[in-house]
Amino acid sequence: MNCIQTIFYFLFFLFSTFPCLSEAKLPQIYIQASQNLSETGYFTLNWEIKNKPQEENKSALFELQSSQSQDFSNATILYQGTQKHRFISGLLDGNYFYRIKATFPQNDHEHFILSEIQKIEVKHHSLDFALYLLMIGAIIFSLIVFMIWHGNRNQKAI
Amino acid sequence: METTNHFLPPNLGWLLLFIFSILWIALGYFWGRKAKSLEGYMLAGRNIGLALGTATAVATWITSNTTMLAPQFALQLGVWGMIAYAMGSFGLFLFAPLAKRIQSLMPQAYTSGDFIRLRYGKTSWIIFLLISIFYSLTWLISMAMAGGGLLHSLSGIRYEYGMTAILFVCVIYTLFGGLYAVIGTDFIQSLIILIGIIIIAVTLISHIEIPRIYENVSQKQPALLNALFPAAIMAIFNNLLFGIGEIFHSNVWWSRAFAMRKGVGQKAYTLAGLIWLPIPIAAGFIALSSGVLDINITRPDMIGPLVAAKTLGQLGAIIVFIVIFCSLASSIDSLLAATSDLITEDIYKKIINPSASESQLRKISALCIIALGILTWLICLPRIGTLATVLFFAGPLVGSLIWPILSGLYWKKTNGLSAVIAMLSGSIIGLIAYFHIAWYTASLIGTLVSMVVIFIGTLLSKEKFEWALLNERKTGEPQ
Repeated sequence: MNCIQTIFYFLFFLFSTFPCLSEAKLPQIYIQASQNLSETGYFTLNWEIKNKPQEENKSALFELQSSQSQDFSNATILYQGTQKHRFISGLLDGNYFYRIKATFPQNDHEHFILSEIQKIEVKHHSLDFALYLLMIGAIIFSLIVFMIWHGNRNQKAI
Repeated sequence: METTNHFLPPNLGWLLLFIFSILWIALGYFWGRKAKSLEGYMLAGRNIGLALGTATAVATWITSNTTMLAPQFALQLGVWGMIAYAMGSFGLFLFAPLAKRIQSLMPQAYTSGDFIRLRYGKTSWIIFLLISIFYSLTWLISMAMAGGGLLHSLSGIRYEYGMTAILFVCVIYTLFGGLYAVIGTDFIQSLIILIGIIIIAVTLISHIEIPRIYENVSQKQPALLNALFPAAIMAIFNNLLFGIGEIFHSNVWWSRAFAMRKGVGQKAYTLAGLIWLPIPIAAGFIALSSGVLDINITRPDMIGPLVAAKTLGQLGAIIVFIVIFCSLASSIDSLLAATSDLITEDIYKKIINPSASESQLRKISALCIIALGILTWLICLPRIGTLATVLFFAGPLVGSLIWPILSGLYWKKTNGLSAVIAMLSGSIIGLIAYFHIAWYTASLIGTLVSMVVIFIGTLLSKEKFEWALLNERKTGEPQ
């Protein structure tokens, strides 16, 4: 009896854990940004699929979705295709959310998976600081021009 | 990073590469026959006229960075980014009067290192050489990387193969003909580049409606049109000073000043600046149209070629391929020649073997060209970053050389100690800015620190330098 019970429990355990095992092997897609805080409004997004046979990976179609709200209520599609990188630029201050939808064609139907959401905060440098550097640059440049002009004018005197 | 849609079949890419490689090597060999003496090999006999002088300056300054990094600037920093990149022409404008001064003070010199050694002494000279050789390497690396990346983007030729082929060709023809070959090929290359850019620009303008580009950018990338874009504002003078630092110190430009006939340098550099000025604006403009064309940008430094190729189709891709191959070759050959001169003259002749004969020096110069090619190749094999990140690392270093060179040329009171402190403090503080603020502030801050040190050092100094000491042939070897 004990032996039958042991076999029963073993089989029960095996079948009950099977979904977990198969879930661990489910394909997943990861999206990553070159930086999470951008002071320039530009960055690169990279994505890749894990736990999927390479053959199927090659046929995957990616859709890069972007939104300014975390629930993607007003999402826009930035890219559709097979590439795995996207350079984004020209963003104003604010929070931006991105995710990838990967679609795999399978025989007569297709299925898709979604990545986690990648949040990027764009916070440009202080304008005062930028103008301050601009002014310093203008002064240095003026001094260089003046020095060359003055130096060449008075070559013999120097 | 991969680009799956190539505009040319690899076979066509290889064919173009082969044709132009043979052309440059044959021309290099043809012009190289003129280089009978060491002075002929290193300085093209000091007899370069206005047309060749202007063409070589234009071709050398239109690097792969102009055709590939200028669009990247526009894409990252918008309209100000384009203008910031075009400010690089001020380096040529300001070097024009400097070239006149250099020729009059040092008519017999070979390298920019000669000036620093004679003007400031050994310590400054060693620091200068380290910075200058490091800068030359970053420039070489950035271009070899760009070449490999471009061939891959356009035709699918593997990055490693394309990069190797470009470096190999440039090493071979520079080896054959020295500066004669470099300047001769530069002339042909500058003509091809200018014609190619005009064709691309005219066709692009007729293909893409400018109001559509404006509308697209203002909706999707509004910061690029913002007149108060902070990072772009910071980049304006940073890039200008980086360009000035590159030209003022680099032996690429000094060797041309020495190679030009008396009275030619100033005109040639001014003309070259005027010809170069609109090119980054045109190259940058096409990057802004990438949104309308729905191009997926995987690497920002590849945007220029991709937009041109997408708009103009296969013919456009062929033109872009040729233009960029020419711009790469015209700069890589100049750097190989000028850097090998610097190592041969300043390190081998002045430190290792002062009694070396002309034939020994020529052999060493050739070995340096080969060694530089191999070193660049090894560093480029792992693709380490975008063009901007590689190149701008050298920004604070070259920025810190502007004032030691300027004051050395015009002020008698500036001494070696001030120059050493200026170069070191400017480089170190500039690099701190590179890592802790942003790459687009590093040259500006490096130059500022170096300038302040030079001002204070010159005010406190009691030295009065004799200009005649710069003319080595007249005074003999100074200690």
